[in-house]
Amino acid sequence: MMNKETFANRAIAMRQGQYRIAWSILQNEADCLDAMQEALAKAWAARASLRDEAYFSTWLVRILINECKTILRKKSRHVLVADPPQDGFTTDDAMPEIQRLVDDLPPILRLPFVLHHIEGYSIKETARMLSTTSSAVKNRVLRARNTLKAELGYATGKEARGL
Amino acid sequence: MKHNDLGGYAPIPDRVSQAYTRSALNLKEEPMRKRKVSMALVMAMLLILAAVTAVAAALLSGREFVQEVMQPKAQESLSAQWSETEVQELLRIAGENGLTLSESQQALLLARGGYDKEELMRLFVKLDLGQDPGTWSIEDQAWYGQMLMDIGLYAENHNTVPEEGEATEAQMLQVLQTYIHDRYDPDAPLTDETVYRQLALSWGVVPLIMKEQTSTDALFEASVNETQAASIVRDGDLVVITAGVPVGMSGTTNILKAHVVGDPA
Repeated sequence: MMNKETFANRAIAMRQGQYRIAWSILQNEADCLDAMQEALAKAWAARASLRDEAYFSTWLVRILINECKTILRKKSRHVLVADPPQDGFTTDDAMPEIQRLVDDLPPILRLPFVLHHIEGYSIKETARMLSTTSSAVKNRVLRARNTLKAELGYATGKEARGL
Repeated sequence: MKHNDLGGYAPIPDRVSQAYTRSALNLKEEPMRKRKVSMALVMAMLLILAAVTAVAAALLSGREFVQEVMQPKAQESLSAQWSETEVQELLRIAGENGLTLSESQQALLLARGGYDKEELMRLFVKLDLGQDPGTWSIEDQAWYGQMLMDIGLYAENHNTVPEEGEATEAQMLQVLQTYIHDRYDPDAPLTDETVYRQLALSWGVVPLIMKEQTSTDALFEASVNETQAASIVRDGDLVVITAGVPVGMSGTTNILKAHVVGDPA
């Protein structure tokens, strides 16, 4: 079983990636932090169930995704009012183009795309995190890529080959 | 394959990063208990602990378990197989003595419904004396063979301890070493890289040269370690190892082993 120091260090090293993954689902800073901290606590309490440390990162991400979905589910029960402005700066202004494009992807394509192309997890790891098959992940990642390409004005695979 | 141009997606804000780092560094070693533990309960637990420690001293080792529990049980029937109830009872007593078989061994046991008497006894003896019966001391090998003969599972025992006037183990070793030394050129190179180079040409084969090993167990362990070091396999991978006994002689391939990398042999 992992000791506290290793566990904390590995979790901290993954914070940027975790934030991106949480963001791709929740798109709200406070919720992202909630999800990350909740996932951290749950993972720590269940650390004995991680049999192979090699899978630490996929394991933690999976817990994180579940937490994000829980938050999303809870939020859907509340009636939404307009978000209060966050400390005087709006995310939209500072957001780079790519962020807006990725955030505009449909959720079902967004998460696989972020996991595979931005976080660099393999197709197989991504499939395990999302409890789906490799081919489903490949399909969604491709659709996400094609959507982005179209948005950016590039030709997609078929058109690029002149078909 | 990280796409650097996408690195700008959702950068983590400093305050989130700091808050998260603080939480990670403040993890408590033990998850919080909901109930408070009373002093009386603590005392009771200490007493139980003391009792358990006393019992632990009297627990049977794998070899003692075979000798004192399994052998008498085996002699109750003439069958070479344990019945299912016998297996259940033996596993229960073994568990009480802190002797457990690996998950794969247990699964095999339950799947078969019955079990070879000798095979199950050997599993428990191995817990004490090691995986390869060939590495047990000759006294242990003799005891084991004699026990199987007593039960009636073996007709004769080839593993005997040398008696008065017979060559000792050390003397036999000396004789064999001299024989091998005289018969074969001691300077002949043992690693011939020809095969290694030829294999490199075969599709799908990644040849590696490793140190010579003296026993099959060491060979299995070393081959898994070497392939792992070469990043060909990693923990949790299922691999098939093939080898030959006697080790170090070509043309004797006669072992096939399915193994999970990272599991003990």
